[in-house]
Amino acid sequence: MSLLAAFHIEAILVGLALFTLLLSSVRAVDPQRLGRALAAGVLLLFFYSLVTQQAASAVEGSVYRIDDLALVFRQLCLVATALVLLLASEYSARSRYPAAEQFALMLLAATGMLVLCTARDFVLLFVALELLTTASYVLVAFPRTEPGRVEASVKYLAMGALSTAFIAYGTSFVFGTTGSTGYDAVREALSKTPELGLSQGLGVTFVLAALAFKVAAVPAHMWAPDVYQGASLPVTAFLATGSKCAAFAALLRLLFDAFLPLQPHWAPLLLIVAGATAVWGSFGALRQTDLRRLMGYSSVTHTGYLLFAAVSGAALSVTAILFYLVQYVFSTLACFFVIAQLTRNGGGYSIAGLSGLNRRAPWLSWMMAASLLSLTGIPPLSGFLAKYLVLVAVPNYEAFAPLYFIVLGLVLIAIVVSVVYYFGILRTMWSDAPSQEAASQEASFNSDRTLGGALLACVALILMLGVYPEPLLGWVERASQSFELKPSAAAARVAGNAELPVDAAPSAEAVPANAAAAR
Amino acid sequence: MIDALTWIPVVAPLLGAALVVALASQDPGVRRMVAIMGPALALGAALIALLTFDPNQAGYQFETRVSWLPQYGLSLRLGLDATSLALLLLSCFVGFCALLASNPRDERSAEHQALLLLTLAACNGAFLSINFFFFYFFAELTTLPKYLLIVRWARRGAENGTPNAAQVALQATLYVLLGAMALLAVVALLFANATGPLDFDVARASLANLDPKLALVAYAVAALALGLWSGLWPLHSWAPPVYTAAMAPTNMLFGGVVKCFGLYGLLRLGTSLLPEAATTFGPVLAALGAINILYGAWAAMRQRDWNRVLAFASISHAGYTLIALGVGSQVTLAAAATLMLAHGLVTGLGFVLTDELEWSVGTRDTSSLGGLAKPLPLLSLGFVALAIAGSGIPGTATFAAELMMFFGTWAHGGAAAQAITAIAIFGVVLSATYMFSALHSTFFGETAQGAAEPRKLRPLPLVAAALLVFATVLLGVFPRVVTDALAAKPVPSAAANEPLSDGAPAKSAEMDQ
Repeated sequence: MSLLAAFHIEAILVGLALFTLLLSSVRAVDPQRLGRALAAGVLLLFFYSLVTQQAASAVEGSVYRIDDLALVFRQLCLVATALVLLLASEYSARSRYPAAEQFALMLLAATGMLVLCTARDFVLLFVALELLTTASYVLVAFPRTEPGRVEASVKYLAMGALSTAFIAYGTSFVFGTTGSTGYDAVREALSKTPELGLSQGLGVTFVLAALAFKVAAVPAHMWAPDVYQGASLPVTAFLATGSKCAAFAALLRLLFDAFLPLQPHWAPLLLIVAGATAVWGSFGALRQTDLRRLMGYSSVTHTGYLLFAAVSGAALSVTAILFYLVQYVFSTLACFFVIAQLTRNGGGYSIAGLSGLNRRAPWLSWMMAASLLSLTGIPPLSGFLAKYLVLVAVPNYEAFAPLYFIVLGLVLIAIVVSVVYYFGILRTMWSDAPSQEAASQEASFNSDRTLGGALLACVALILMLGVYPEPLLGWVERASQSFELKPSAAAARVAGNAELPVDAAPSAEAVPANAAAAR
Repeated sequence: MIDALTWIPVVAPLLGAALVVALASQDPGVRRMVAIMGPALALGAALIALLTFDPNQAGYQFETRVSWLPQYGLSLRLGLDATSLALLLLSCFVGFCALLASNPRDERSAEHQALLLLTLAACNGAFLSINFFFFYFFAELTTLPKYLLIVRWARRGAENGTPNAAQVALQATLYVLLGAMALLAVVALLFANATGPLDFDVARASLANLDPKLALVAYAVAALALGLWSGLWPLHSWAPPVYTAAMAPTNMLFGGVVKCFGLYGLLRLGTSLLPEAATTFGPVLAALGAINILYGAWAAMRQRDWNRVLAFASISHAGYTLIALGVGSQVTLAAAATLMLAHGLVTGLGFVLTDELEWSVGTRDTSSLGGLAKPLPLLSLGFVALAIAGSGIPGTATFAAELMMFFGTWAHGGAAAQAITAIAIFGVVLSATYMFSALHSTFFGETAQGAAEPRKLRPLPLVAAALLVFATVLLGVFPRVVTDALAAKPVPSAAANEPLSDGAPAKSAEMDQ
């Protein structure tokens, strides 16, 4: 496959970004129209890629392989980018700043995401990560005249620079001990050495630590609430969805591909990090009064659940993580769309500003409720099935039973605690004593049609994924086979019995015999 | 496979909810008619199912199956066996009465009615589900309605000292979700170790290879979670405040029907999923049941608020079901379902009546009431019926159910079983004590000083109350309407035709064949 054919989607994105920059330097463009046009363009690109892209086209010794996993992630990133561009177009129209640069940076960051989802080499991983992160530093600071932007960007930059150092240093260790930077070669080299050497351990830890920063896992999570609060709303949405997905794609490729032979070593570490992340985020979110900050902590918590699912290293983990991420992106974006509608109507970002929303804009309050319930994991919304899959994805618990059960307990506690803050928002929306802030808003609710349509689509999707998950689940299951993983014990057993007719009751002889034996 | 009798009870209330929201700006009377249609259809389906149910047929009847995630052994299967039929009847009937009693003139009542209908659909779905996962799914569906119904439609001007509705709602939701998460972990654990689907009729085969130690752990965690759902001692503290804060229709549905989820789940866990572990834990359940009976009765005696009396009475009554489940014989399992049915009817009746009392005289506090029988004869008649039904006097559903349970437990043999039966019988005396003392101080005795003229009663809640009294008496006089099917349930062979006094555990009865 030719290089251009493999990279053509990325090339189109870069082209769009350059075109946007050129256009804005030549003539003044209405930012809202430009943003919408770009969103439509990216959405078209998504549909194009959905229809045409085939799995398993590799370039240059599988450094860059578009397998099913990459397809799921790339399409998710494209959709997220399109929706975020929509959000940005509305935001820039309101705040009146030259938005073309922001759009271009978002497109460049999206390019980084796509490469990140597909990279199977440490050098390419580094390049993609830098492309994404460098664009994000600027995006967070944009426009720097607004209060708090530069502060957030510097915080992000400080943590990001550290993670860049980590990944470069870790890669050097990996290269030094395995003699290669390609995932296939690294995996083979690692599976040949039975013992984990110090330098290998350091390499793996450094690389994973760098990605822990991107996905906002404890202890590299501190930036998330600050940056989420400091950045403009569309950028926050971008970091919470697209950026997070791409980072998880890279993490999955590392854990389940390059470092798979070391699974017994990284699994306990990941368990501890997962438990700490889930609990830390959940308890941190408890006392927040700012919606963006709350979303920051909530995003940390969800990272914890996702890492928890990754521990088992079975195919079901990948399925669970993919399904979780897809529904997480749409639930979170729905949340951000509601917040955007609120700020349109003069509300700030404080939770108190939602007070009486059910009275002012009943539909909006129900949309918000749906997305929050999905994030909590209440049926029939998709978050419920996602949480179930995460819990199911740990079949080989025997290997580290006590630790596993402790972390399971922590994750469950984190979920229960998350009810406090998600339902707290519900209470505020359904309360009828409008706060001063809410009272200052105009009586008639002025909502943006396009945003409303996108919001409706997101909510419809999370509802649909909750009650009719089969198409997506089938797709992500196929994607999970991109790795050479053992199927989880449960899946194998259930699949083996799939032919078992459900209404054939257990034969009268077999069951009592078993029961008697058990006695 | 699609059978109207099993999908209508789920879909009709949902459609009703959608219609009610669509008609939000219409006349309240029209909306009430629409809102009642959903439960009426569901009730109709449940009654037809009762009439056409074949008690001698093993397994599930009227099955509806929709393929959902076959690769995970998950199909949405809705069906009825005798136990779920009894609970479906309860849910539809109480749901119908709750919507009848709901006041459509309340502010923004379309949302209120829609949430009640959603709860009803979820209840019906939970009792109809054959798969453990879907039982959980539907049970969890009640979380949002419960929270919003308490937060948004709490009583106005609640008495001093009662915590505010938001706190009560959050506390209840937190407790229930804590249970839910633990249960979800158990479901996931069982699924990960099962060889087939976790449908109640095949789960035993699917879990045949389950490590017995793991089964015990799973059962213990699940039992705790389900106990939380049902608000059983010592996990009950979230429940009484809910009943003081919420309005009558909410209380009827949540106190009468949703509270059964936990006990129903325990029943399924014991009969289908983890029978061996359930047998091991049976004595613990029975002992906890005895404690619940005594504790609930003791606490109910000390309450002055009628709704709190009912809340603790409900804990006390759950104790009987728990004992019945702990003994786990064929008779007591039938008794357990009948007990839940009777309890749900009585609880529904209680909450609709106390709401009328509060509407009429402005308070439910027994200490500030007295001699209301003269100004409110109809209401006092209702409360007399409540006291009779609540304390298990012959001729009411509670009596029939408790009698079955006593026989079953006593026949189980052993000093422990007989001691527990004795405690349970003593509990009946206690329940008469708190019911009649609350009744006495409200309606008889001296008229409270400075009492205002009572307001005129509203007709529709009274109709709902009359319907509930009728159902209680009907079940008390002809308990065989449901018990025939229940008692004949484990029919794999001739042993099923043995008389009711067969005390051997159902599981071992089946094993012996």
